[in-house]
Amino acid sequence: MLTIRNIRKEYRHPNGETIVAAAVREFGAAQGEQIVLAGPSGSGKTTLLHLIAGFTEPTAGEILWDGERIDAWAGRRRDTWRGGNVGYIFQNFNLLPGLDVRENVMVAAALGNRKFGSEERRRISDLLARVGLGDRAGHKPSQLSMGEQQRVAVVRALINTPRLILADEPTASLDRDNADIVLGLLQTLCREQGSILILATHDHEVRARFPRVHEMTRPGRIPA
Amino acid sequence: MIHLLIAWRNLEAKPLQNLLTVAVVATSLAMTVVVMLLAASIHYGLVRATEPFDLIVGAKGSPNQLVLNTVFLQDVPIGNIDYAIAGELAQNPLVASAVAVGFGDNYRGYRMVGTEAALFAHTVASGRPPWLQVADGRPFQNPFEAVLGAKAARETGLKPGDSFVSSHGVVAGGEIHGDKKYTVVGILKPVDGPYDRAILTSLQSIWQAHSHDSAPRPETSAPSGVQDADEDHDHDHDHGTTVILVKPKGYAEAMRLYQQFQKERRVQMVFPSQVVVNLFAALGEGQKVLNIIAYAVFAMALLLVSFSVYWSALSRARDRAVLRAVGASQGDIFRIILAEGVLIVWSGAVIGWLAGHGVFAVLAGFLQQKTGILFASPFTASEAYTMAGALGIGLLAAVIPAWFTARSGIATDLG
Ligand SMILES: Nc1ncnc2c1ncn2[C@@H]1O[C@H](COP(=O)(O)OP(=O)(O)OP(=O)(O)O)[C@@H](O)[C@H]1O
Ligand SMILES: [Mg+2]
Repeated sequence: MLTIRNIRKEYRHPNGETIVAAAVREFGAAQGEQIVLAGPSGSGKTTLLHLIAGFTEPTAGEILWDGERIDAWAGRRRDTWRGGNVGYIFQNFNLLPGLDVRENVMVAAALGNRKFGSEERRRISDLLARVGLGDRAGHKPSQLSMGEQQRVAVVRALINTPRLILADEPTASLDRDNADIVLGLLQTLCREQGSILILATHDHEVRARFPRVHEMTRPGRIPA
Repeated sequence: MIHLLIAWRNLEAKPLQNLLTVAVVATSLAMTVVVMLLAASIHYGLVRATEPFDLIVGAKGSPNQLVLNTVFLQDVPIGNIDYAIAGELAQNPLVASAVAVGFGDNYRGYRMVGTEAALFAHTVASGRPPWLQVADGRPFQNPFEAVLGAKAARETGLKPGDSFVSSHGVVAGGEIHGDKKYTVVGILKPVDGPYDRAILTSLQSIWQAHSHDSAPRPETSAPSGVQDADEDHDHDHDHGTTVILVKPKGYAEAMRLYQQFQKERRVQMVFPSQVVVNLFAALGEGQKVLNIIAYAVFAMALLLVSFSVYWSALSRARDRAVLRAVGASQGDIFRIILAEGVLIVWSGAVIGWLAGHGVFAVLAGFLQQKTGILFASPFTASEAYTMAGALGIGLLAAVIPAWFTARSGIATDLG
């Protein structure tokens, strides 16, 4: 259960101006919900996802997970929480280029879940097969197409069965067919696992496939 | 384990840069190890070679030359002394034994050492078995019988019963004493020292080998029979010798004897161990300089490791942010970068250590062949300390880039 109240993220520009990167008054997501973050470029979708994942801290406001103020936690505790509870998917996949497909997923299992054994190994194989990459486990990301790379990223995000999946324009770099495949997999797997899915996009077709939309508006600037 | 895998994959991505860094670390450590092993083994070899020689009496001149010639069978003999002095010394109440040794001839570069049967009873320390022991055959008894050092026998292939002709001078290629044939009667056990290359015979043999040569020459101050330093042929029959090996009855007697000989006009008396200690002091200075160079190179190698690991970490800031995003903590990042540095430094250290021993083995083999001095490679405590230090300081060199990269943010590096 995710709850956000009166959250703001501000950056101070060297010229003294304050840039409000994201501002959300009220936002909540119950277990299993699938929500699109919509809004024009610069409206703070990425910033909000970063705040929820704990990549950065809000200037003001509260982020609660199961009623706990995760924004107030120390970095270490947030790291542990993120490792076990959050799966993050990027627009440009961000697989580690030196590691093969299996190792890329393994890293998330070993670092996020803090345990890695035969059960995790089997789960990696199962999930890779599920996204149609069962025979590509030993390939490097550079040997895969973009659609295939994003499917690996989906597996990486889901490997620890996190309760929260954050996806930042996961289909923006893909053609229509691949976008459909990736989105279908993501929604199906999240539903199966009962994970919250929060997906940022400005693609109307993607948006249309979600039951709930949270609209972001450009927060603007405060002159010095 | 996962940290090691990621570190390894990161290193793999830049094979040339990382192999070069490993090579620099290895080279610097190999240098240190070679210098240390050489110093230790030279020390050991010289001390061991000097052990059988308590006191040496020889012609006045350079004590170093006297020791080099007598103990290590190097350099040219310093000059001759009156053989009668050996008799005088034997009578001296401070002396346990005095054995005359004369140099002058060689067989294919192996020195002929003219001496007395008493040399076979000579011990390194009382209670210990004799220094020179016959392994095969018997000691010489008659003129022109020879006993070969272990190495001289092995390398010349001479066996008891064989005969050979010596030539004049201490190095190969001198005038051949054509009419005087030596017969091999015995071969010595190895002594692991320069005397493995010696050919022992009686002093009389050498005197006789030279007596046929009747070139008329004016009387010189030093009675002769064996060769002079200046390769001069003095063949009068007031017999001479090159040195007398003196074993004093004890330490106090050695000191009193030394005092007595300070006033002696005809000859000088030296403690070979004293000369060798002075030599160590000189070698020690050289070793210090080499060590400082090796340490400086090692320090630079570690600096290179630190920078190299740091720079490649900088270039992977995005990968690191991604790792954090999928669950890695700052501690995980620290461990990954640390592992990269440690892999480089430790593999360099181990390769360097092995290479150092390899180079030493080659050098030692060459030097042992050249000098006859034993170049064992004793594993010294200082070598263990150096390795431990290298691994420890190497860890530090790896900690620095790990520390600086672990603290970077996630959002900023995802950029
Ligand atoms: N580190 C930063 N320093 C200053 N300004 C920032 C920083 N990060 C984001 N911003 C600003 O905050 C605003 C929101 O950025 P954000 O990336 O969240 O938008 P977005 O909705 O994801 O846009 P897009 O659809 O183009 O991805 C932008 O105006 C951006 O320039
Ligand atoms: Mg964005």
